[in-house]
Formats: sequence, structure tokens, C-alpha cells
Amino acid sequence: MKNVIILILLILSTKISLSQEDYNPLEIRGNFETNLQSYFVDSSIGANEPTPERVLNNAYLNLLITKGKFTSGLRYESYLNALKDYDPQYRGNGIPFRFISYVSDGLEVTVGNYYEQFGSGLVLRTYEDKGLGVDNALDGLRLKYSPFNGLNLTSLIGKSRTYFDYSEGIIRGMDAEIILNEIKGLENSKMYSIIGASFVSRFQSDNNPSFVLPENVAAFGTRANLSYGNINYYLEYAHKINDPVGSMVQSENNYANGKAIVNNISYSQRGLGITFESHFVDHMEFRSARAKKKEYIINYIPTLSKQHTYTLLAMYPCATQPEGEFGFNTNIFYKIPKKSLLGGKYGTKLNLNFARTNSIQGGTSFLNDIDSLTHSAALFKIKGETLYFSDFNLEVNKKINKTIKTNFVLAKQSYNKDVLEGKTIGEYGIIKSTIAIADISCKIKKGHTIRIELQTLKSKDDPNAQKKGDGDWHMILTEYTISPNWFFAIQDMYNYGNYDEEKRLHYANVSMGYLKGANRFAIGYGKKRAGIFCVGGVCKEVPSSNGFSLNISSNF
Amino acid sequence: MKKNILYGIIIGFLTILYSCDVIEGDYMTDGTTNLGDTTSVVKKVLIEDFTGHRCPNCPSAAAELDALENAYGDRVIGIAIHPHSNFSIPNPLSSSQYTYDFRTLDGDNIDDMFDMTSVGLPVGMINRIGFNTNHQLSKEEWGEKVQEELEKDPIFRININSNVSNGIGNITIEVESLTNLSSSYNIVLCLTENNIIQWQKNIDIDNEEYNHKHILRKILNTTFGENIGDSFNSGDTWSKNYTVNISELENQNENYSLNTSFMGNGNCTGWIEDDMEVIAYIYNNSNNEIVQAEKIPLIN
Repeated sequence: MKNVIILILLILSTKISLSQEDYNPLEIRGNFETNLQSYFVDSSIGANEPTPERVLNNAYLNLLITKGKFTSGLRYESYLNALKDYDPQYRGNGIPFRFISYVSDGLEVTVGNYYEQFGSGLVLRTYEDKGLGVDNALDGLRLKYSPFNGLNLTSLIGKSRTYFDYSEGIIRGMDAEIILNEIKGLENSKMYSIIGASFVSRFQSDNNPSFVLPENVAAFGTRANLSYGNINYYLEYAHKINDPVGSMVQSENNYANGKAIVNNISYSQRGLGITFESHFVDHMEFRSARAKKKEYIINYIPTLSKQHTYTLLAMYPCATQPEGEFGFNTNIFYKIPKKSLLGGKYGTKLNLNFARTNSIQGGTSFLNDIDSLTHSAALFKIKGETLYFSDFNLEVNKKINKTIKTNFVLAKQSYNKDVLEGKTIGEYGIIKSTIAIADISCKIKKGHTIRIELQTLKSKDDPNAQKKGDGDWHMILTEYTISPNWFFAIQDMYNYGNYDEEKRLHYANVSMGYLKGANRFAIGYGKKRAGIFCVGGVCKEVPSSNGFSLNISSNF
Repeated sequence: MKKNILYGIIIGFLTILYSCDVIEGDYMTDGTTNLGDTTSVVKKVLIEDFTGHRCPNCPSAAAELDALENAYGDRVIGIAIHPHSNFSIPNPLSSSQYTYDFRTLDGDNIDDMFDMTSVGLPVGMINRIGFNTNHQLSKEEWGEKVQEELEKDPIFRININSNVSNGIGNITIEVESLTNLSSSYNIVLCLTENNIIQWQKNIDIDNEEYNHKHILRKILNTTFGENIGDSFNSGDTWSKNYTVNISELENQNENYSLNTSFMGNGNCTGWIEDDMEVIAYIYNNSNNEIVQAEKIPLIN
């Protein structure tokens, strides 16, 4: 019934726009994607559970209709049943995302579903990431208004999506942002400044018989972004009031306030860029309902590590710890000029990166009737704290000649598997790894390119831990592209250094694809290892699998 | 016009600013709960706690169940299920730790039906409400759902009589409909055991003497029970007598452990009847929701 109403609304919105004079043509756009995967039992890689359906499929279609000031859209999603690396709660078909919006005299009105982010997301970020299976879109209404140049106001009310449903809490939010340089009289200021403030509140009734729970939990934040010449500075502070999980067990209910501070500075000039980002986070996970479930999370703490795309570099990724973490991430980008000794004919791009996160001094703030650990932990403390993650890496990108391009990375990483994967402390400890990557791409003839990735990872387990990690890996990837239509790839990951000889396995994959116009078809076969997959510090575990895959995507 | 919109938005902003409840201790209430009139038939709630002896966070869910029992007395009935996940696999008998096999055919069947372990342990169901999208509840969600369930009126009365001694006897169930009903209902009768002292992982501690409570041992009338009727008038009754032979039931579990369960070692016997309880629950066949539950000790 709900979906029928949506469709009627969509058609109505289209009709309204069609009936108006045709100043702006009606535009219908969208995209479609389906991912089908077969699953075989393969006990050698730990894929022991048989899949009764044999084949699983995820698909979605986005439809966007615009005409002048009207926009409406929907997304049809189909999980029959969800691929194994998705949460099984994504089950069945539906239209969980639909909206209508219009702009009139500077006021933008959206009803239905929408994604929103205030600042860097410390108090509110709703977003969708298909790979992570995250979709916490709000459903309700949102107003955006700019009363005069330089002032942008956003207010919203809604409920946050959890799979095909919505969580119990009602989210209310407001954000104000002033772009000082757009205000009359300040246009010519050399300092480019944006300041902002946001407030988000969640309502959920209290029917816990043993504890007094706050029904309205607020989080608020302020931010400033200042640019002067080559220097850019961003500062954001967020605070959350008492937000216990609502348990019946006293030790589980933490009434302490939460806070987060983000501090980023960057400098850039031709051929040189330097960035330094840091944050301090204490008890700052904000959810659309009290219970600690990942699908309820509606804020985002930006990750402090380089987002690696090479498989072995991303094998031990950094997951942000919103309950308590201090970290920093610094990057130096430098381009050795052309025609210099090291620069060669085309110049050489260097990126030196160092990222590190650790526990906060004194631990996560805690407060209830029996215990109190509310403190002002040092905002910048490394010594004596538990290391969560560190990554020191150098990337060298060099074009040798018209046909050969190369990219080399050397990295040293430390990964606290117990903390970052929620294991028992002492189980795996800190796994240290050294990784080297060589990525060489060669244009054989017009339209024909071959690319080879050679990767190796040497790992060192924690001598004090009870269990060992996966040990050493090699990986090779060969990709052949015949542009603009075809690609072929073969890759093998070999866990040659696993301490368990039976697990010294090859994870081989072959794939090929055909692209024509707006359509892309790809098929593949291979084994995937169980592991951690992260995007922007948000991570999930993916199980091992063995099978064929088919991917079709298309735009219209 | 622009000004009006601006003022409207500012007023909205100020209204939202009120949406903020700071609690400044005492955080606990006086602990009393309104149990209603407990002399007549009351609604009882079944909590199924999916757990595992190697699951480091599972004792905190057991503590949640304990706290709910303390708050609501016998109106809360717990069953702990160790389903066939990695957290429940026992070590070989030659090992010194985690050799007990808590898994059962019925527990595994319930897990398969309700897809519980796939979302991660610990997880639970409260009267199986919300199936099949919102039934997998984290422990922090149990309390509020229990409260919501207890506010509902009972629609059945269940009477259990146990006449078992030295491992042999019979159990009688009597059901009475308290209102007119037009749905189909099943009844499930099961045995659980408390005070099983065995290994349990608790965060980073391997506890050799953990007290496992509410452990599901056996469902006496098949995992999903038997039908008691497809429509009822107020006052309609249904009853049945079940024979019980504890050692036979132990043997069935032992066979399941040895022949079906992954790495099963058969170490699942040694049931102590004085620590056992009989639990009966009735659920609606159309939505799987448990509408009434009852519990008595196996030995009176």
C-alpha cells in the first residue's frame, strides 16, 4: 500500500511538472545494478556453511525525475536473498527510498527520504554505502533555506532507516552555516571563512523500570573553516549529553557526556602539499535508538588513515573507535619537477603518509550511580597509550615514457586486531606488517593496456598473544584492457606464510567484462578470503566464499 | 516573506534546543515494578537468549536476563540456547577446557528458523515479536520489549503439572482460552536446566566455574510444538499428558552431538533433575508471536 502511494505521488509530481509550461524539459535519469553470486561449500577456505539457495542476488534501481524546481526519486532494492557479505536483515524487495523535493524562492523542501551531513558528520551523517551495507537514510521532512547570501539554514525531522524498517527514535536537527565572504562588505576579505553550528536531538520513550533514561538526547557541534593564502584550517567540536544504552544492568548504562574534536590543517603550493589531521573522540557514538547496534549509528567520525586501494595494503584497515580514540594522519605530497635528476621527463609524484591512532588517556568517560570516570583526558597524548593502528608509507608515482606508468608503495603497518575487530584483549594483540607494492601499466598499442600489480606482505605476530594472525601473503594481479569495450583480469592471493600449513592457500580470481555505452557486464569466478572491509573507517567483516559472480550495471 | 520564513526557522531551532534531557543522578529508580494483579492470570514473557560458551560478550546478556528476572519476578521466563555457531563448538574430550556440548537439535532448528547467529551473538528474542525483520534484539533492547509485552492482556492460561521422580514420570499441560480467538496456535513444551557449572568465556577471562542457567535441554513435542486449535471461544480448554524419561532424552542429545553436530563429542549428559524446569509456551502460527508462557520446576 505504502509503495502504491509513493508511485502515485511520483506520477502526480510528474504530471504537475508536465502540465506547466515547458520552460524546463522533464528529465528522467537513473541507474541499475545487479550482483549475482553463486556459493559452493569450500571447507579449505572456511566456507563451510552450505547456501541452500545456491545463488544469491542483490539489485537496485535508482530513478530520478526532475522538472524545473521539482525533483522526485526512488530506489527499488531487491535482496533475494542478500549476498553473504551483506547483513541478512536485508531481505526481500521493496522501495525503501523515495522522496519529493522542490525549491521555491530559496526554500528547498524535501519530504520522504534524504541523506544529510552536518559538518564532518560528528553529530549527524546519514549516508548509503552499498559495499558496507550501510543505509541510514532519514525519512521525514527537511527544509533548507538561505535568507540572504552567505547564510544557509537546514532543519530536519525524521526516522532513520534500519534495513527495510525504521528505528524507534525520532531525530530532529538543525544546522546553520555562515560563509563570511559571501556577506556584503566581506567579499574582499583575504581570509576565506565558513563557520557553522549544528544541533541534533533524538527522542525515544523511556519504559525501563529500573533506570531513569533521558528521552531526549542531544548532540551539538560548532565548526570553523578558515583559509588564508596557501593555508587551510578546519576545527570542529562536538558534544553529546548523557546517552545510556537502556540496559537493565547498571554497569552497562553509561551516563557520561561524549565529546569529539577534529583539527585539520593543510598547506599547499605548486608541487607541494602538506596535511595534518587529528581528532580526539570520547564516548561519541550517536545512534538513532539507544541500543548499541551498528545499524542505528547516525554520526560519523572521519577516519585518520590513508584509504588504500591495493588489496594487501588494505588487509589490515583502520576502523574508527567512536568510544575513545586519539589519532592523527599526516601527508606530504611532493612532485619532483620535470627534467630534474629524479623527476625525469615527466616528473615524479611522491606521497609520504603517517597515520596513528591510540587509546585516550584514562579510557572512555563513564558515569553511573556506582562508578564515575568523567575526566578531561589530554587531547593529544601518545606515550603510554595502547596503540590501535599505525601506518607509515611512501608512494612513488612515476611515468617512465609514453607507454609505461608505474606506482610503487612501501608501507609499515601495526594493527591492534583485538581492539579494531572487537576480539578479546590478548587474543591476537598487535600484528605488524611490512608491505611492498609495484603497479606497472604498459600501453602495448592503441587501446590495449596491460597492468600488473605485484604485492607482498610480511607479517609479524604479537609474541604475547594467544593466537596468530594469517601470516605472510603474496598477490599478483594482471589486467588487460582493450578500450573502450573489454577488460580481462586474473589475480591470485597466496597466503604462503600462514602458520597453519593447511591454510597456506591460493585465493585465485578471474574476471572479464564488457562495456558498451551506458552498460557494463562482468563475470567472474574465484575464491574470496574472509576479512575486514572498510570504507572511511567504517568496517565490516566479510565471510569467505567460492563461486561465480555476475555483475550488470547500466545508466539511463 | 523571507523574514517570516527566517523567524519560523529560528523558532524551530529554539524549540529543538528544548529537546534535551540531562539526568543528574540518581540514575536508578526505586526498583519497584507494577506487576499488576498477580492473583489472576497474568501475561508472561519468554526471552530466548542465543549464547555460546566461547562467546566473550554473552555473559553480559545473561546478566541482562538476570536483571529482568529480578525486576519482573516469574513474569519473565528465560531460555538459553547455544546454537550451532563457532561460539558453541566444544573442544575434544582430551582438552581441559570447553569440552561440554550445549547444542541441541531443537536449539539449532530454532536458530535456523529465526536466523539468529548470523547477526552475531549475543542476541535474543522477546516472545519472538517482530519476526521476520525486527525480532533479532540486542540485549539493551530486551528490557523495553519485555515491558511492552507485559502490558498486553493474557489470552491463554497455561497450567503445568509435573509428576517426575528419579528421571521418570509425566507432565500434564492444560490450556484455557481467556477470550474468543480466530487464529491458529501451537504449544511447545520444553525442559531447561540451571546451575550447570562449566567453562565460559567472559570478555578476556576463561571462567572454569561459570553458572550456566536456563539451558535448553529438550523440547518434548518437537521443536515447533503441536497445534492446540485454529479458533477458540472464551473458556475453551485443551490438555495433554507427556511421558518423560530423562535418560532417554539425554541419549537423544548425545546422539545428536556425536552424529550431527560439527565436532560434537557427546559430552552433553549429566542432567540434574532438581535443577531442571518445565516451560510451556503458546505461539500464534501466523506471526510466530509467543502469546503466553509458563514455568514450573520439574521436581515439585
